[in-house]
Amino acid sequence: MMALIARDLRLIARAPGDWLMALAFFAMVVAIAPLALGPEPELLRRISAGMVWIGALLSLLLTMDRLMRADHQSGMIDLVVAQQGSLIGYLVAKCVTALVSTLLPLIICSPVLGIMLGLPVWPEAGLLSLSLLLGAPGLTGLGVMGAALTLGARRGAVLLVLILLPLTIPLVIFATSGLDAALTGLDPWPHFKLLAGLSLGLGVTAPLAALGALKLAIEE
Amino acid sequence: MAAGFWTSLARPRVFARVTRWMLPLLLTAGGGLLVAGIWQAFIVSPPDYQQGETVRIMYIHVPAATISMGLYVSMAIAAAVSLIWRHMLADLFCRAAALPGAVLTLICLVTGSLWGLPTWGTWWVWDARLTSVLILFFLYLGYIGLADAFDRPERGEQAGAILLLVGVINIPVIRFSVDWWNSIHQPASIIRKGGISIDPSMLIPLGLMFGAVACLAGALILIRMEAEILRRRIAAREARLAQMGEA
Repeated sequence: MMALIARDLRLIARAPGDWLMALAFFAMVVAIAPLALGPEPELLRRISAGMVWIGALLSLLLTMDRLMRADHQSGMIDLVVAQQGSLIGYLVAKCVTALVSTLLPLIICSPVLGIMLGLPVWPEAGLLSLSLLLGAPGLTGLGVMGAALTLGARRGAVLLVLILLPLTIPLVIFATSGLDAALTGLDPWPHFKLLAGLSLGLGVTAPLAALGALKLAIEE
Repeated sequence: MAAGFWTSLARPRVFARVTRWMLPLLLTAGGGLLVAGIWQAFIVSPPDYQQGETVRIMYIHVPAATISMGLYVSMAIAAAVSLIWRHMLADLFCRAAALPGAVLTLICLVTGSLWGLPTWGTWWVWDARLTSVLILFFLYLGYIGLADAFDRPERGEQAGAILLLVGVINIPVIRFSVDWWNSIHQPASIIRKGGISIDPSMLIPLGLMFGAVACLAGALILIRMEAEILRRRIAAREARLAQMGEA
């Protein structure tokens, strides 16, 4: 498993185009908001957290499509099964890869985009980053599950977004209502605790579904 | 005996035999109930003392809502059956029920909107009940997309079954959304703790329409299952013929 993680991290380091592209996509989605809705500061501050979350979700879901495709096509997943007899280690490695290659850059860059939309630097922009961090286990789990379900599918990328966006809605609701509370001077923590609980629950259960889906994918 | 009957239904040949008399039965019952229900709903039942004539939207909205949720639950059960025992008919049921379920959810959303404008003063609000039903609609679409996305239909069905099981978490959220959160939508008001709380003059058309939608949805699903079985048989025969041609 450690070898798999190390291999994936090396691949990420050597081909930075993939995750840089995801980051650029994220920035573009967020940057379209002031252009489409008008540069009124009060409005932008109200929608900033939501826009950053939407951008992060779309960027994450679009990159998840590629997470296992190369491994599937090259027969590497079959090799892992033949060697280790189980896919659990492989899935854990993929979760770590998704977390490091896609979510981590998003978490780091989100305060900058929040501030560009008029979010106060402290604590709100920090809380925005924190909300993505709290949502990360759930988002990773769901993303890996979606990637496994759509492995080898026609129109896989679009399909992945279609099946995963409805499932991520609860995370989005708790994260943005927490940030909303913070912006209006209320306590964001009740919302963030619910977000963390839900996210951890999904982070544990969704990879189990991913395991089942991956077994289906390699049967062919 | 009961268990024996239900498991024997799972055999394709028995299924075909049962469908042969079940389908006309469901169609006649559904058609009769629909005529009686529409007559009751539009002519016999009184207008509401508050809502006036708009209350008649209920007679399509409530059956569509309940049955769209019921279909999702039955699809999730069939998905579990299919994942545990790999049974072909369970997969066929999910595939056949997905589109009627999605359409019923859409009917529920549209009639709800049309009902919302005169009674709530708005087409749509983003509250828990309406949003969770909208998610149900997207879950149906996601299943349909996933089930159709693979060259081998079985692979799509098995992947879809996993998705159905994950999405079933939405059903209790829909059911209890009106109790857990402050919603513009009224809480359950047909059967409450103290028994039935709706006047018979409205309960009868509602029951008739409920039966009609259930029977017609069942008939539609049976027709779609049969069509899919026939399509696969044709595909298998074509493959066999092609092989014979090569040899």
